[in-house]
Amino acid sequence: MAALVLALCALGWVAAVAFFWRARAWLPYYALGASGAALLIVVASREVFPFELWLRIATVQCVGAVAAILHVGAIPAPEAGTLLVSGFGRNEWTHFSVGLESSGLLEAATLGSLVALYPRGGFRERALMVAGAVVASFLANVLRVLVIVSLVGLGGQDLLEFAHLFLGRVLFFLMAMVLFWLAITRPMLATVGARIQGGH
Amino acid sequence: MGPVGALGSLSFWGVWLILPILIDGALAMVYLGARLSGRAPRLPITTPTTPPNGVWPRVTVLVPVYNSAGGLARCIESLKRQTYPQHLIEILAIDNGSRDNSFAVFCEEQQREWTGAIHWLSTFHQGKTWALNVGIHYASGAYVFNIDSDMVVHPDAIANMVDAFERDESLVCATGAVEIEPGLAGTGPMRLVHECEFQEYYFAFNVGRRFQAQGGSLFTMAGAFSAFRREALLQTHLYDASTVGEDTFMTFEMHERFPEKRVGIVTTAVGYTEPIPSIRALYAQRTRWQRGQIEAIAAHPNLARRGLFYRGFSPVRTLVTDHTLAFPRVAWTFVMPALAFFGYSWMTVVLAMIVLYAGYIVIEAATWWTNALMVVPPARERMLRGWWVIPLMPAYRYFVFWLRFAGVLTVLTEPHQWRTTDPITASKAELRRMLPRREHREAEQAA
Repeated sequence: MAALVLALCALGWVAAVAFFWRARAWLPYYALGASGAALLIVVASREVFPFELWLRIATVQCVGAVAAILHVGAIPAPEAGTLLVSGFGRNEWTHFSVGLESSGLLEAATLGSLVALYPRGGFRERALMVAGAVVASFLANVLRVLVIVSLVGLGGQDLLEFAHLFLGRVLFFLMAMVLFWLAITRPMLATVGARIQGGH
Repeated sequence: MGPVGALGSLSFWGVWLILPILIDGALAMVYLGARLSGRAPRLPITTPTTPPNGVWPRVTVLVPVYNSAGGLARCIESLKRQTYPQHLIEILAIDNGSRDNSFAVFCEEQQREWTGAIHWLSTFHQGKTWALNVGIHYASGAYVFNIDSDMVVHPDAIANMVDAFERDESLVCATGAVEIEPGLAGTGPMRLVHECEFQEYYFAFNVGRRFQAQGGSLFTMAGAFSAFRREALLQTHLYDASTVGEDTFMTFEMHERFPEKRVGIVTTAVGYTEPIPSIRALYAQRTRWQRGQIEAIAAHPNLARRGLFYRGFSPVRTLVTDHTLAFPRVAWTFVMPALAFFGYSWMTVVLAMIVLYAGYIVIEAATWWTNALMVVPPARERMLRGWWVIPLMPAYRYFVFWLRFAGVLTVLTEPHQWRTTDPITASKAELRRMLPRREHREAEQAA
């Protein structure tokens, strides 16, 4: 049932976006296109396909692997999408569950949609850009989670709120801004610059 | 979940919107702090009585004309009323393809008694940049002013501008303060827009640009009213027709060619413009501004390469704020309400939105307060009476954000031109194309 509703919504979304594209009404095209795509991806990843779960597991596995290299005491827990973090020099274990927030799904979907629908470049270029943006977004999220678990491992559970609510979010925001710059603003500037130099 | 818990759990999403607020808010508080601490004094408009260097120099005022019959007479009359010695003012009205009776209006003004020089020039090319470049070619004054034909300038505007140039050798060019004419406001819903616009303009020039200029980073001299040393202007490539932001382009040229000089603002040289006539006109204006900004940055790769933390003029800072940060804002505007479907309570989502709006009201209150501490007559009365727009300003700015965002898109999708089609008109046109025309249907029925 959820799949059917989602498919109908997707059809309606495609029709509306195509209409605004043809009309050259760029503002509704992009606002509806990018935000609609992001929402459809998130809903599909949660309700129809197990992408969100895969993303949580992948995040945990990557964090665990990097943590092992850096000798940070964070290991994937048996329960899917969770981490166990041991305190440095303390007999303290913290159980992390990577949920919707920390999975980075919303950010990856948002960034991917914004890049995909941005009216610049051909299909191939956009596809490559979207793939790059989504991978980079995933890596940025891994780094965020790694910083959070490292801080909690070093400083104990007292730092959990600061690390999770503040530091991790601000850090991710800054990394995301770099991605937005690289994926959207800089290529746009190059395109407009080339057009002006070419006298068009 | 209580309100505090709700907000705490939403801070993850809110960070995308709260951090931009903090950036805006920090700037607003810095401006207010500077005013309160006396570092940015109020500057009343006075009439300079004696020339700083013994004699007043000759000045040329360029007035580009394009279907300007409606406002040209007021503009020229305001120039004739200047306290600056009239015989030292040369007005060049440069037509660039008008189809109305602008020339007749000009002739009437030319025949009225006045000791200054007033001439009409015509150019084959349509476009403000062509008109300005022709005007620069013919200008004989030591200082060249650009004034839009729908502007009215304060009687002391030219005198104060020249006074600033004569006192400061390092000042290579300057923008005047463009304000909405205090006595003009529409009725109905447009009245709200006009009040917000009044506050916005006043702040943008008398506070924002003033601080930018102090930091050597003035981004745009107003195309509607600015002035240049003629010899400096002639060292540039003049106005460039490849962008729709010829004013921003020229500002960049000045920064690039005269890095040791100052690109400034003279807030005591005031020009008044009419409030925007319609939402459609507002859309066209803001889309063009945004597009022009991007084009000017793209056309100056050397300036664009300066980093975020460059001391002085670095257009990348503006680009990050107006372009890069705009994208997450666009997405989260729609994603945030949808969080209610992803396990967050409606209360959490609505509360977060209320808090965000309240945050912006605080910023706007600081902005208005700064305005109120800076404002001088004749704008003072309307400014102080307009405190009630504070809660509306965030909505207005948010609306304007979307209009500017359209410029972010059209810079890539639409050919270079001044006129733009708004999305409603474009959608209606597409609907008409899609739906069979009535006459076609009638023809079919008749057949």
